[in-house]
Amino acid sequence: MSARTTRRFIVRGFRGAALPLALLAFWTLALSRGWANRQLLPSPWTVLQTVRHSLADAWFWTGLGHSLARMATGFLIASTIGLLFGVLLGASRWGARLAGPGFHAFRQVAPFAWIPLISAWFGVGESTKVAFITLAAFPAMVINAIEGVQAVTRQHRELARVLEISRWRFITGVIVPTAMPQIFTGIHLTLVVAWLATVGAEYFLQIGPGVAGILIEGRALVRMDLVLFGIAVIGLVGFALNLTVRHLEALVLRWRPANTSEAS
Amino acid sequence: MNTQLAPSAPTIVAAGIGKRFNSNGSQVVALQGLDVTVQPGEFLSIIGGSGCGKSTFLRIIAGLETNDDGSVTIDGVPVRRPGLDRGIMFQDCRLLPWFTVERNLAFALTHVPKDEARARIADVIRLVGLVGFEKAYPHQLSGGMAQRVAIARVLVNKPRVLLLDEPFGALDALTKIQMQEELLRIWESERSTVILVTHDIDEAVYLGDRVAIMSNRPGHIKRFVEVDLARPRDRTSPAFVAVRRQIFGEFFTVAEAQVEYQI
Repeated sequence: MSARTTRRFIVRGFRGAALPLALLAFWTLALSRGWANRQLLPSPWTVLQTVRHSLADAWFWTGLGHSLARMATGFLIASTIGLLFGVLLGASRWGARLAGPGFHAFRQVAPFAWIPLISAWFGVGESTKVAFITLAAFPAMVINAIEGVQAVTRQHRELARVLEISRWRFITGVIVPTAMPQIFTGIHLTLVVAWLATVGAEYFLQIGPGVAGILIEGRALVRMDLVLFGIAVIGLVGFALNLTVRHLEALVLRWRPANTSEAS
Repeated sequence: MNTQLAPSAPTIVAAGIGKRFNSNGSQVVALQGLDVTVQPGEFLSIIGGSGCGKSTFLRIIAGLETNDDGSVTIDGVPVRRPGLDRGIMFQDCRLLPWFTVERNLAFALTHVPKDEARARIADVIRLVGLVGFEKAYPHQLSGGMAQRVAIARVLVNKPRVLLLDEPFGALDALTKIQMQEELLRIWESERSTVILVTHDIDEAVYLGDRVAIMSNRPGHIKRFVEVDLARPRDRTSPAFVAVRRQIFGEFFTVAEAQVEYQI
């Protein structure tokens, strides 16, 4: 690797930091000029102290662990149900006719509207939160699975006919690979929504440990440094999840030309 | 030797083929009264302008479309659905982009035991000159190479009939000539019955034992031109050019007159 490509590599790796750094600069400036109330906007230094304290605190790690486990459970249920349901709707004309309109009406309802019903049915435990996450996240998987399955071309259907391909081989060799890019988009979105719903469920249902506990405590104590720390944790977890899925996607879909898998 | 077990080239008889389409409520007659008999092991080129129904006719033989009138029989057996006795090659190579060359071929071979499948795949890869590209994905291949894979995929099932639907229409002129040579070489070793649909006069004459000229609305065969030239054929020889001109005259009467003035 030449010096020039090394430099380009470093620039590429860090250019994403430009916006956060600019924000940090503005934040410091706003405080030093007295534009902001220190009670409502603590200094970066104060927040850093809070980060150090919190990371040394077992309470934070227990909360994060619970949140991730909760999200993973909700995500797994949502993506499994969503995938099966979506493939059914996409592959069978009758499935789409019978269940399609009902599903599309259902997904117009804001997930939060279900909270009273879910908490009445599932009580005030872990299952309520998981049910909420599942409910919020699975439509994204369904929509993408439907579109993925419907992306099978007439040309490939014809090919399967002239080669006398069995139904099972057609599903595994044509339908699934065709749908895979869209299914990955579905997994991506389901994961994003599952994480948002995890934080939402913890914040609104206010039971048990979780990362939203940081926000709740910060608000109760009017400690905005704690709130800012909570926001940063939630953001970083989302970022890490995104990165993981993207790498997995690049690995599974390596049959695609490089320019399409590298987009975004 | 038991000749009945060897896949021998069959006779194809199409008699009185008619096909109608509905387009925007009005009926379009695509084919009417189309008659062809293709002899065992014959290479028949069908030439016609776009929209004359030549691809539709080929797709009827393949079993991908149904005819409204007439019948197609292969060695006396009527065609009702697609089957592995007929291998069709499309203009777009139609490879599965998520499979390597090797797996694309394996996907086409369904009713064969594993060991034989492996041997057959290796055979066709050698036949079309793709040794070394077994693990390549379709997007890594050039247009000509992708069409070689498509040929290999047709051959791997050992069809008795080859149906070629403008197979080299999307290739550049030089690659096209190269592929025509390859196709002839393969046909001479396999000796299946071949029907090639094309809009390229040069290709039709170079490859075919006979050229069927189709005219449109409704599509039918206007006349047959025998290509009584020994192979390998010389595209620039006077005899070759004479056959070309004869076919050219079927499509462009005015242009033919001009050509004759120049000579």
